[in-house]
Amino acid sequence: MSEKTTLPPPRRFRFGAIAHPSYQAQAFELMEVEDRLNAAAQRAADFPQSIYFIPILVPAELAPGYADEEETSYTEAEQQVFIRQLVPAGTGALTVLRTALADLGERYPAVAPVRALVVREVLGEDGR
Amino acid sequence: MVKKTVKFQPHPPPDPGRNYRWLGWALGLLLVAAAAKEYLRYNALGEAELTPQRVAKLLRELDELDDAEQYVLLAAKPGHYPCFSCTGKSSIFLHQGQVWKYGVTRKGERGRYGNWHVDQGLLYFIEYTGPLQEKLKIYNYALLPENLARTPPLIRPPGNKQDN
Repeated sequence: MSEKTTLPPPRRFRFGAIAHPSYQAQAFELMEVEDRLNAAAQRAADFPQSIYFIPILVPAELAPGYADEEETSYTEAEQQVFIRQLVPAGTGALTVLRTALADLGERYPAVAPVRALVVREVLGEDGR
Repeated sequence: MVKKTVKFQPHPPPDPGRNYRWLGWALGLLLVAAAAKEYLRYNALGEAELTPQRVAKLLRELDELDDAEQYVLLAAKPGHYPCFSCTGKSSIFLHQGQVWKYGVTRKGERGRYGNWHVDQGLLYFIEYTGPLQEKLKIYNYALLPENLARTPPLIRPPGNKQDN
C-alpha cells in the first residue's frame, strides 16, 4: 500500500515576532497568515527567495527603546526581503508589512509581486 | 495646683571596666577599617561609605542590568525542534506556544535580533529586564506543567544547553 506524503510548501514567507507577552495572540495569528501566504506563493513565478517579516509588538511606552532595531531592506544577490518594523499602537502588523513592501517595491521591481500577493491574499484590494 | 513627684534615682555603682571599654571599641573599628579598606572608607563625619572603585563597579553592574533583556523563545507552530537537554534524542515535539529557550541579551549587542529564531520557527517574547531571573526561569522550567506532562520531564528547556 502506498502512502501519499504531502510536503509543506517552501517557506518563502518567514514570519517571526519580537513581542511583549501581551501581544502573544497577535503574534500567533501571524503564523496562520504565513502559512496562507506560503501556500499562495507556490503558484507565483519570479518571486524572491525569502521574505522575512519580524514585527516589533511592544506597548507604546517601550517603543522608543526598539526604534533603532527597525530595518527594511532587499538584498538582490540573495533575493531576500527583510522587514523588521515597530507596529505603532492601533495599527495592524499586516498594515506595516504592506507599507514596507510598497516602499521596497518602488525601489526594487522584484518586490512588487510580493506586495501584490500579500494584498490579494490577506489584506484585500483596499489594503486594510 | 498639680504637684510633681520626682523619684529619687541613685547613681548606679561605678563600672570598673568602663574607662577601658572605649579603647576596645576604637581598636575594633580600626581592625574593621583595615580589613575593609578595599571596599569601605570613613568620611569626615566618621560614617562608613563605599570606596569610589566599588561605587563605580556597582553602577557599571546596574547599567548592565538595565540594558539586559530577558526573553523566551516559544514554538511558533506545532512541530519538532532541536533539543539540547533531551536524553537519547536530538529533537522534541513542541506544541504551539511551548517554551524552547530562556535567555538574556544585552541591548546594543550586535546581532541581538537576527533572523535565526525565525528560521527555526520560534517567536521571541520579551519578558523583562535583569539577567538574574534567567537562572531562576531555567531552574524552574523543570516544574512547569508543560514539562511535567513529559515522560521523563526535562531538566531545563530544550533550547538551553546549560543552566547558565
